Amino acid sequence: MKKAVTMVGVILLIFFLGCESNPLYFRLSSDYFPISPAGATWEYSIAGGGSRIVTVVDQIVTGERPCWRLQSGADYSYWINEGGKLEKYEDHTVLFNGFEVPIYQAWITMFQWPLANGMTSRDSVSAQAVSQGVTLSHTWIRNQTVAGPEVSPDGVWSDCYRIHQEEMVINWIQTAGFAPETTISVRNIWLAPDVGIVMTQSADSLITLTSFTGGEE
Amino acid sequence: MYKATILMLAVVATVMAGTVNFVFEGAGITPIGGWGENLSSGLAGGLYGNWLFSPKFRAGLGIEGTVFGDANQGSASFTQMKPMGNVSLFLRPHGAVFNPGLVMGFGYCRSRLSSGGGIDPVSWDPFWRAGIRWNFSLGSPWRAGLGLDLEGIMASGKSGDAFRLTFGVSREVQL
Repeated sequence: MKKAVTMVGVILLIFFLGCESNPLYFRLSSDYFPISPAGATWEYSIAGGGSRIVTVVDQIVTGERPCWRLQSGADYSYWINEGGKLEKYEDHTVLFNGFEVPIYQAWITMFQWPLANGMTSRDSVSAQAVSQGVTLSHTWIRNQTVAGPEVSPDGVWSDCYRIHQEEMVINWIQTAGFAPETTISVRNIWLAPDVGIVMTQSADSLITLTSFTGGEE
Repeated sequence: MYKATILMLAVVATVMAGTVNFVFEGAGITPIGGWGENLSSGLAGGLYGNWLFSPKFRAGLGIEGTVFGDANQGSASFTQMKPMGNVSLFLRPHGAVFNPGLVMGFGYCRSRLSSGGGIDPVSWDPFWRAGIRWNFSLGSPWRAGLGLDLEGIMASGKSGDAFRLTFGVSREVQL
């Protein structure tokens, strides 16, 4: 009997020595992009000078869906975080001959929950509109890869996911003298649990969260 | 891991000849707390071998696997593997219709999340389980049991608690 108990003990010890614990259940229960309630405020500093304040203003209906409205400076953005995904309302217009021509309005999926290391996604939009007899086309392609969990580069936030985004935009005014304009941008976004975006890094900018205040339910 | 558990069961069973109650149990699992927000309810299946120290008191080892799907028709899946030790106490072990019992389990849980083609680092955490059983006869030597459990995975930062509704069949084997 003693031998059996000792043997089982040794087997269990060897078995569990190589096992690691990490806060997987904490990450699963966290909101990595808390866009509610109203009053939540993020203050960012911009490398090289300047700051940005983002505030959840209120809940309104946009694009026929109830959503949260966020304000940054004079700009508003519209978000929905439900059904296992975060969506943003895009209202894309192109300036042509002094007119703002609407190309498309749609809810675009930004992230799917839950995030996991190595998760990949590809989203795209292709739309066109005709203005003054000229076709204006717009193509947007975004590839995303998730890495983590990791500590944010400033060392402040743990259990972050890093979203690596590669975005390509092709705008083409299809008339003589205009060629397709292609823009490629690459950025890394760090999302912290129950805080949201804590850092955004691209080739020409670095934006870091300096303070976060949750709103009142 | 399967091999280690089977080996442990074999060692215990070989050295301690006697009567062992083998149980196969299926369960529906409902997460409690935010950790299951993006996951569906889980389905579990487990195999347990319990040594009968007396007709009423049993203790042994078991292993259970659980899988959760995506709550929103996405691609996430979450799995748990739980090697554990069990103790149980049944009040009327030969009752044909009503043999109420209490069960407890302690062990480790291996948790693995995959989503969108990615896989998060696997976590190993201690876990416990406590529940009640209504055990009854299916005709000798088979018995069955319905049960309700509360379990908790003691992970860092946040525990993974859940309710389980179980149905199991069992039989005793003389070793």
